[in-house]
Amino acid sequence: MDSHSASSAGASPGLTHAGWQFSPRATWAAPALLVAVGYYLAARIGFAFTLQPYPISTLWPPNALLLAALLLAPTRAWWWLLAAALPAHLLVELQSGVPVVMVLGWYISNCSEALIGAGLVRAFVPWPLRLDSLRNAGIFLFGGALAGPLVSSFLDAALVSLIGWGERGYWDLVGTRIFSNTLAALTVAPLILTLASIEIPRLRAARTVRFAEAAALFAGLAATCLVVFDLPQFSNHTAPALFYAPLPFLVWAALRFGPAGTASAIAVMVVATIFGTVNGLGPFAGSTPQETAREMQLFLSAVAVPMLLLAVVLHDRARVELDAREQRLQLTHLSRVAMLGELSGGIAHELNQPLTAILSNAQAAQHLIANKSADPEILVEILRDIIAADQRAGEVIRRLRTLFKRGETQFQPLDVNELVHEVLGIVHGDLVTRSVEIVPELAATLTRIHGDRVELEQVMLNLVINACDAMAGIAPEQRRLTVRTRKVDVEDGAVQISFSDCGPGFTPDQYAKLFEPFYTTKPRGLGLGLSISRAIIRAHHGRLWGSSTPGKGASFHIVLPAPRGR
Amino acid sequence: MAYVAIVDDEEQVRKALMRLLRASGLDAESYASGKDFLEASALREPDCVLLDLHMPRMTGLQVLRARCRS
Repeated sequence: MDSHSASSAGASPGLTHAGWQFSPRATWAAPALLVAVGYYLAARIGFAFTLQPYPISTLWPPNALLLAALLLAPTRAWWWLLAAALPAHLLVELQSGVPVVMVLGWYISNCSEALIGAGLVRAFVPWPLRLDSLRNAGIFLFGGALAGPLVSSFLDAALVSLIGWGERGYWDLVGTRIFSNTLAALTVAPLILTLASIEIPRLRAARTVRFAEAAALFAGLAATCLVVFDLPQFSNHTAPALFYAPLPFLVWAALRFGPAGTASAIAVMVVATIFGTVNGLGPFAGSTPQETAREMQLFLSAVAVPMLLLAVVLHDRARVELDAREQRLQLTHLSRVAMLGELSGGIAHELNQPLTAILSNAQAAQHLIANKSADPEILVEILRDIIAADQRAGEVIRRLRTLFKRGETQFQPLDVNELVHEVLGIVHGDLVTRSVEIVPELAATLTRIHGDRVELEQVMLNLVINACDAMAGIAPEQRRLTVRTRKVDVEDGAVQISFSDCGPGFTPDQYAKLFEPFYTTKPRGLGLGLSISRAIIRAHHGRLWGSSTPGKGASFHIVLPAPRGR
Repeated sequence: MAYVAIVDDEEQVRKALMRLLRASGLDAESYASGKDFLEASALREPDCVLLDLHMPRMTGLQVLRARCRS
């Protein structure tokens, strides 16, 4: 990498899922600029969302933006992020003809809200804050969205009274500030926090249908909000049911699009509602500015909090389920690898045979050529045998590699007889070593079933190894394992695979425990094979069970259903 | 000429070893199972036996034991 591209890569501030990434060469310029521009725009929005003629701000987003910026940044970056907001604050406030002392006073109270909120949250949640658990969301709501605005509102009102700007009383000011700041902290800050935690690669990987669904959701929500909140009111009485009209869309967002989608949906609703209200439209218009603002702010806050919490809880649950699935996959893979380890002796033998054949053939050819008695036809034959043996060794490796691989479950149409052949190929060496004779009774034609090749082979491998282990105590010439595949007549297209050994079998008492995890009768067994096998077959919507005549052997049967929609 | 008997259940291995031994100027014969070998060796005593241990039905060790008994 040349120096130019290295420096440009280092300078990119990168809003990543972990928040701002800080390299040792403090790349502070871009986040600072982002905060300054964002603060300016947020203040303009705040002014636009002011009720006239007696100015009452309904939503004051700059403080919430500062709060989100602090929560995304490490603590040591806080001071210069707040400093970056000062020029934007001066620029936007001095335009409105407010005395400089008051403008500076507001800067202090705005910063204090963000600092109190972020400080409280940081005390309990280490950087970076992610709204992905109920605990984090709760701490954010109490610390950032409630305590910060509450405490700073007293400071704000005190400063206004002290400087003596405006004509409104102290408590009147406190009330106005608390509601507009809380609403902003409840809606703007989660929006920034959740949008910043979106992983761009995952967004890119999302399918078109997801984007279409999101578009439908937001279009429906916007249309509903326009009708409910932005139309002139024909009567003074608004049906309460109208207020619930946007709820289905918010629940939709919570169910399908996580905290980021929900925060965005709430933002759409907040903007539509406030836009209508400040323009004298919708159900909140008509009262005094104070009452109008209060009623609307309470309504929006009451909707935003439960929806946000619902989205977080659902997201958290989905993540827990994903973790559990990942662990199941890992356990299945581990058990498969352990099983292949048991077979390593037989597999080594399986590989050694073609290698011996290749070596002997090559040496024979060497001798023939050295003795000048090499008949070209014999050499051609030798080379053909070498190639065949090499291909056989390659086949052993290919089978093993498939089973060793750790991957997502992949369902595909499968020929059960082919799976049986593959499995018997893998255990062939082991079967020979243990003097187990295989008696295949495979149905001539079978419907293809739908399943994961590796997982089904793992189940069959497990049943074959169990059968061999069960027959270790009987005379070698009696060790026979019958593998049978057949159509299940009563279930249309279903396939049954049975493994029957000639071992001692099991009693009903033993059978009751066979599928329990960690139950084993083998001296070195883990006791996981059958429980994992049953889980795999269940995931295939099939059944796995055993039957036995004690003293005469045991059978294990798998039934796999035919693909649906046939 | 020395006579070597090959006992291996794998045809490819038998064929390759036969080729090698014959190319080396030895007399060699191969058997697919211990049973075949035991029957044949009663008629002609080999000077050397290449005996595969991993064989179905009768393992190499069982062949060896049976051969030593007779």
